[in-house]
Amino acid sequence: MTSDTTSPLEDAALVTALLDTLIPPSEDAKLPGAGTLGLGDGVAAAIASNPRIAPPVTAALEALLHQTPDFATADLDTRVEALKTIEAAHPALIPSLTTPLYFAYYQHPVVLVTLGLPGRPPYPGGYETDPTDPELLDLLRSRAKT
Amino acid sequence: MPNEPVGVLIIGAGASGAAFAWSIADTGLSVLCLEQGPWMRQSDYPSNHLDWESRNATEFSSSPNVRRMAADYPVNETDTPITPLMFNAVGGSTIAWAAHFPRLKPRDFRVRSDDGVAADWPIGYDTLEPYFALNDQVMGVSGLAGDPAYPYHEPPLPPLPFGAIGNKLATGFEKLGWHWWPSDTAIISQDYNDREACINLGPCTGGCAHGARASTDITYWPIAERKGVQLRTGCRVKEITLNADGLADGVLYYDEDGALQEQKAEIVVIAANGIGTPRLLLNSASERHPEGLANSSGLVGKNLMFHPVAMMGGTFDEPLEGHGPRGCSFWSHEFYDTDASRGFVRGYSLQMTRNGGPATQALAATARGKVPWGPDHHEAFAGTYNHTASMLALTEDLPEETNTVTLDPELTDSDGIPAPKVTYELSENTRRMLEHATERGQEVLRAAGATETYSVPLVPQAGWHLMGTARMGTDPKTSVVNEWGRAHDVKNLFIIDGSIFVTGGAVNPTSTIQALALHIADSIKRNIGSLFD
Ligand SMILES: Cc1cc2nc3c(=O)[nH]c(=O)nc-3n(C[C@H](O)[C@H](O)[C@H](O)COP(=O)(O)OP(=O)(O)OC[C@H]3O[C@@H](n4cnc5c(N)ncnc54)[C@H](O)[C@@H]3O)c2cc1C
Repeated sequence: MTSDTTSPLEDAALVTALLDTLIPPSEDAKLPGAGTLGLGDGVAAAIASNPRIAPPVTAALEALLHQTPDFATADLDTRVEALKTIEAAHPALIPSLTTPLYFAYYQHPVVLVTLGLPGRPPYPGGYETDPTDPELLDLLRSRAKT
Repeated sequence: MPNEPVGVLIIGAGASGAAFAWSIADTGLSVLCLEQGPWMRQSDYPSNHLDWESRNATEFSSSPNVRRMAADYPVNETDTPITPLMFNAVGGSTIAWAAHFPRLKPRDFRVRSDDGVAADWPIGYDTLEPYFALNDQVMGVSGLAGDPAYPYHEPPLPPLPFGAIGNKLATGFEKLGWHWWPSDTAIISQDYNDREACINLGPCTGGCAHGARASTDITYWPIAERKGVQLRTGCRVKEITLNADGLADGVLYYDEDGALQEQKAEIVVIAANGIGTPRLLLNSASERHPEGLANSSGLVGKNLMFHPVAMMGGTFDEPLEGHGPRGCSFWSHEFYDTDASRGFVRGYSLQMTRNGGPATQALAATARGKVPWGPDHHEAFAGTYNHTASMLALTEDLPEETNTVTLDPELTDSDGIPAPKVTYELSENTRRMLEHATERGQEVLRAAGATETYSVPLVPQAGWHLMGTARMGTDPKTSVVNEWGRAHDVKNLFIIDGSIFVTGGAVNPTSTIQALALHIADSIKRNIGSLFD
């Protein structure tokens, strides 16, 4: 458990477990859990630096720790149930977490590669895209004004 | 040392300012443009980075209130359901735009005559036709000649590839027999001038790192500077000054170091966009013009038009990979003109967009309640990721004097210049149009094979198009500038940006904004001998 003076956002084990609850590993284990992927620090920092969302998130996490002190070490089912209870009492919690979390998770090279994308920035490599269906183009040309 | 007086002083280096500068340089007059923003570097754009999606949403957000670059001014948006968007740099909002490049249509210029609403423009499509064509050449436009919805014109480059989404959605339009046509787009499909063809970096709105999507810093400005035009960045114009005869004689501006400077000029041209222009005119109030410069009609800052937008999407069984420029693969003008049976006047265009990246798609699907947190997250995401296709409806926003840009009594920019406040309400006509569009959009998605459809009846983050706040006309009582952009009240003051639109049509405005800027430059050249008579 965190001490009175430490924000739960600074509790690395708690944040890791929280992110692994929100995005757990996929069943086929190809996609890692978000906490295990090491996104905790970045997500916690993004929340802590946002004065609009930091206070409600901190309050909700304090309530979570109060309710389930061993959240960080509990199994997934227990964590999911605990988080559902907190979500009901603190509806701002999950929406505040999803924006920084999804940005971090779905821009991670491991995740990108598993989704079938190259794990690199778009530039300079660019991407391939499907050409226009030639039959559709022929159709349009037959209707074209001259 | 005082600044050397110039012949022509342009305020704003965006879409219109750049086109105008390039053209007016032919007069041989000295031409200076003052721009509050900096030159952008392609190497700084988000697509150079793995976290391009979050950069697009933060430091490259198209909202100045989110982005908060040093060059930005804040906009009070508490009284508008649509967020005003723009970019402040050399290139203006074309740094952030999607480069969808339709022209206004001939009937858009005579809405009063045809439909009995709003007002007619004092010029028509024919006046602008040569400038549309010239501008297409300079910007580098891709498209397919022969759209039956338009007078014939030939884009200089072949159309961009539709991608899987465009190919899919086109089948829906075919089934229903609705009009559709590949978009004119200011993105080059082949190498063109010194620029390389599009490599599908993704949404263009964070700036194009490859330079395939046009922005005026890479199209007009290099050739304008070669003609001798001077561009001074980091210069924020505070007000336009007048001489004893009531003619504009220059401006006061804050330079990069925050020092107040004076710049004298023979002709002053405002190109600061539909919000920046009325802001500057209102900030230029004086004893002679207590309600703001060029505002004897009382219309400066009134009649703000946005093109309210609805979004319609569908989920498809088959994968629809979404790479490609975001703008638009094809458009439909099926519902463009008035049909009384629909319950509203005028109409809207439909524009097929491409998907965002994985993070954007995950957030959008979560907002629709389709992707939960927890053990079901991955399965649900796999069902939506690259399995959706969407389109936008861009509605014609008729001018209303109650939709305004005014000066905020408290908010200022970093130089202490009063900031604009936008007050805007959707009209009943627009509301009906948006409703109609959400139904028809979902109908065509189903026809294309969508198993499920959804809609956002009014997209809040869609205030891309800023028009109407200093409109043109022949009567000084009902307009701010004449048919060639000259302020009725001040003979040597011109306005060349989207502010001068009389009505907005139902297409993106920039092709028309730039054609107008070129038309006004040519008109000044023609009338230069008698400009001060
Ligand atoms: C995200 C986004 C997507 C868009 N997509 C499209 C699209 O697909 N198709 C389309 O047609 N249009 C699109 N637009 C709109 C398009 O960008 C604008 O219509 C166009 O750029 C307007 O041109 P302008 O010259 O009026 O103003 P801008 O291009 O906005 O330029 C105005 C310039 O004036 C400068 N300025 C303002 N005030 C001052 C001052 N006091 N002193 C000094 N400088 C000043 C600003 O810094 C700015 O650089 C989009 C816009 C955005 C934001």
